[in-house]
Amino acid sequence: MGWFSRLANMIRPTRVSAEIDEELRFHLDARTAANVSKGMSLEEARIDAIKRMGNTAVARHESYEADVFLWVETVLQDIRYGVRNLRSSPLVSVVAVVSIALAIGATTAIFSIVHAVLLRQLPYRDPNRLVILWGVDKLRNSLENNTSVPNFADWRKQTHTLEDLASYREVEASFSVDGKPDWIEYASVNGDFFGLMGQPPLLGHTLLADDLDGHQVVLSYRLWRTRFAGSPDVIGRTVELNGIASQVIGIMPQDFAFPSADTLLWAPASAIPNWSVRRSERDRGFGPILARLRPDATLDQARAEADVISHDLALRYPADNEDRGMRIVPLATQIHGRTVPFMFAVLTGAVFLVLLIACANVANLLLARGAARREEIAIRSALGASKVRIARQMVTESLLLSSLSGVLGLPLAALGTRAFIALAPHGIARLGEAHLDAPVLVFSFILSLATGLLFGFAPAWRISRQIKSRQQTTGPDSHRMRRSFVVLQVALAAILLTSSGLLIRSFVAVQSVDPGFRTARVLSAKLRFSSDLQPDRRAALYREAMTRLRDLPQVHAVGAINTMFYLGNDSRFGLRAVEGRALEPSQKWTPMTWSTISGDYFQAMGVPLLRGRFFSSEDTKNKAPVVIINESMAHRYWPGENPIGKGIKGFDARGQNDEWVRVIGIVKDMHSGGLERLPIAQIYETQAQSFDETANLVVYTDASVDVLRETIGAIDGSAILTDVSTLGARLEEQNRPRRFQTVLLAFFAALALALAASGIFATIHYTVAQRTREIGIRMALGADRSTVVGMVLHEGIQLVLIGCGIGLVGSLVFTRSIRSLLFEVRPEDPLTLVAVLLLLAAIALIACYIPARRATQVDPVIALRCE
Amino acid sequence: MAKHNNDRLQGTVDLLVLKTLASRGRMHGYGITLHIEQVSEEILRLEEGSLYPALHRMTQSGWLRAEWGVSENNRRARYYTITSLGRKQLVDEEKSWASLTGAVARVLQFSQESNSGMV
Repeated sequence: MGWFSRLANMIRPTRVSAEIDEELRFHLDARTAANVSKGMSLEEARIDAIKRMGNTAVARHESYEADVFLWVETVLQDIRYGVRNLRSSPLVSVVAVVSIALAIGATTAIFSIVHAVLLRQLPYRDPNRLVILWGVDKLRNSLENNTSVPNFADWRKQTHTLEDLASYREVEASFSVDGKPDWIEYASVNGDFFGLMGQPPLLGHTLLADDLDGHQVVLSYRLWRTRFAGSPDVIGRTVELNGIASQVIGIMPQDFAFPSADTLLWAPASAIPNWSVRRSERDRGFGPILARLRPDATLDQARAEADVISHDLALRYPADNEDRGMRIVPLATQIHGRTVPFMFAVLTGAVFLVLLIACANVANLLLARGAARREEIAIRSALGASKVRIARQMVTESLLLSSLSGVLGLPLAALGTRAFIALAPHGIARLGEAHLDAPVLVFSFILSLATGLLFGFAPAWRISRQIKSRQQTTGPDSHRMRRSFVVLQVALAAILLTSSGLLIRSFVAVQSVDPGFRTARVLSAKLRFSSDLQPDRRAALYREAMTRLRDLPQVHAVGAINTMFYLGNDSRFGLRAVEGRALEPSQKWTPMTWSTISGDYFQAMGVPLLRGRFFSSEDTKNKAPVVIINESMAHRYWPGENPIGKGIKGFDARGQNDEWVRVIGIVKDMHSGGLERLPIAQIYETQAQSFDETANLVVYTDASVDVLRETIGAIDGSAILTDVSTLGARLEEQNRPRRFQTVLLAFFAALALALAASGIFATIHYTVAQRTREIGIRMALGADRSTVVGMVLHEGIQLVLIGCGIGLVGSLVFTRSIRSLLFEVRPEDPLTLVAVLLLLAAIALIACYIPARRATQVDPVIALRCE
Repeated sequence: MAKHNNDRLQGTVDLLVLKTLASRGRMHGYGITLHIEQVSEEILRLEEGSLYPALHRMTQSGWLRAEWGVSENNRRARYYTITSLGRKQLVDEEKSWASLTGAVARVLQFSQESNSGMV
């Protein structure tokens, strides 16, 4: 009977009883029938059968006990015996439990994160069939383009593989309740967005498709809690979005966070200020398309159809759709992104290495203890305990250890999960929802059992070998096994140390990159005025703000730009024309930006002018259009020449009749694309000659933010400063994913190192204890202390060196897989490898030296007497 | 377990059952009883009820395998077969039985010899 039916017997006692009764009844009936056939009357036959049977009640009861309790009894016996054993060598047990608890805690924490972010289904209806459609500009290599409203309408009509198409645009806008100004991010939706996502509202109702009058909004749970204190009366209230009065019609649940956790409300597309124009403009992107794969369609079919529809649109509207395509991405893939799954894979790999080291460590401890228990095992075996029974006893002990560790690991896991969330870079979707829920607990439980079996296997195997061959666990075989566990631990620790060493080197390298601008004492913030103001009025307000800020006593320079950082953007661009040059083919295009600045932007940023001049108040709309370029731009188009005075034509026409735009100055490069990417070609025009607004303020100042806020607030009632930070802090924020990975991997490496060190220590300590007699003889024969210390050290160092050798080879494989995380350091960086080797050797020396010294303090007489 | 009134047989029930199943294959409890009675020419008469706890205990120890089947006269009956573990156990029990009976025999013989020597 297998253990499952035994368990089942415990759960269904009545069924067991019924079966026993039936078996006994069969016996009685058979005996009665036999008696009758021998000539007895039925009555006599029955009485004889019952008499022969004896006490039926006892038979039934004892059979029942045999079925149900025998198994439980032996298991309980094993457990009692196991507990006694664990308590008999408390130091070994505590070290083992702590090692495994740390490893299980860390692994469970990582799993809870991976589960919350990647493994759980998205909270939408049939989420695996949801897809997102991104426009692709093949010429510019830009892969996440928005689709215009007329194109969206054509897609909706033409597709046969997708249904419920909707489109959304992430917008920032002024938002006020009871006249209190604020600025929020929200999503403007076109089509049946809520029907497609299929998540019902928490309160009220959602926007209906094609019934979008532009005066209704649905609030996010977050906005509802923060701005309305979670009051249910909010349905029907009026708020102002983009300066337009809108009615709140519903609240979405907390886990509805699309397109992102920063989306605070949803409004119909018709609510955006220039909707009437935009709805007919085929050349202006609105947003990505969301859709559901039809039940009979596959992703491949949808992609094939996308090519056909894109081709058709390009034929019909070549001006706006030539060289355009559409990329269909499953929604889950889009939400997870590319970097987060990779980061999690690296961390999962690292934490499993730590778990393996801990298992090797504990297996080693148990082996050593098994050796100490050889007499006990021999006695038990002589008393008739079978090999299987003794091995089972050992496994029960291991499982006992690992379940205890699993329980202790849970608070560590809870702590780890919280620390992870606190340290993690911003913007990992659904990370905040990670906690120790049922699936995580199940995982942790299975993990505990699996670890118990893993580290319990070696000692159990050893014991059964010992019984079979009647040999002792102190034999050379056992030594070899324990030595190889030490080598394994050192090798795995070396892999983790090398990886984290390389990441630390990369982190330092990134930190020491000169960003090309001033980071201290430069405040950066977004300056907003109500989005329903006329553009001219807003431009005037911005100018006014700059003037007033510049006049503040502690302000050294004030400037503004439309976009300060271009992160993760690999789009390539070319100029329409360069004066005196042939047109450049699109294959030669490179990343390039064209931004609008105002005020003393470069002075505030501390970016020096290399040649020419800055913009002046003379550069106005009616004057010839001019730009300032950076060094990279100068090298790209005019290598070895003076670019000042040269003419270019950008993406759109400038000036009155698409005039040449003249270069008036060259500034030093800065890392606008992040510290890890080389500076790219950049072009700056002045706001006075542009249509773009420069909302990103930079203030080089010693004044406090409050002073700035006050000054801004005095200009207009709707003025508001958001995203206030310093340039240094913004760089740090950009660096946060790298810092996070480095810190976490370094933590795992430190854990691995500590475990490996304790493993080396325990093994050498044990070897010395075993060799007490031999050492005593040597010392009695005149060996001096240094010889003995050298002898012991030799063994330890040998193991560590073999481990390091294997580990460094292994790390070359492992670090290759994290190559994309490295910055200005190669995976086989000799400095890191040597440092890891030295560190491990030093730790090993210390771990070996303590037992070695103890060996020399042995009194030869006592040593000779032992055993 | 409760005391049994046929103490002398109790220790040998396992041996008898294992031997029976090893030689006869698949049998139900009643069949085992009959077999032991017939072969021992009715000398070994088990208290039939006591057979069942022994069968269940041996099944739990993995010496026997039990399954429900249909008897000769078409009734549901529980059938037992011996497992390989049970065969090993049988070898052990046979050995210890042989050494026990041998020892008892020698003791009996010894007292006869010494008696005759005394005369």
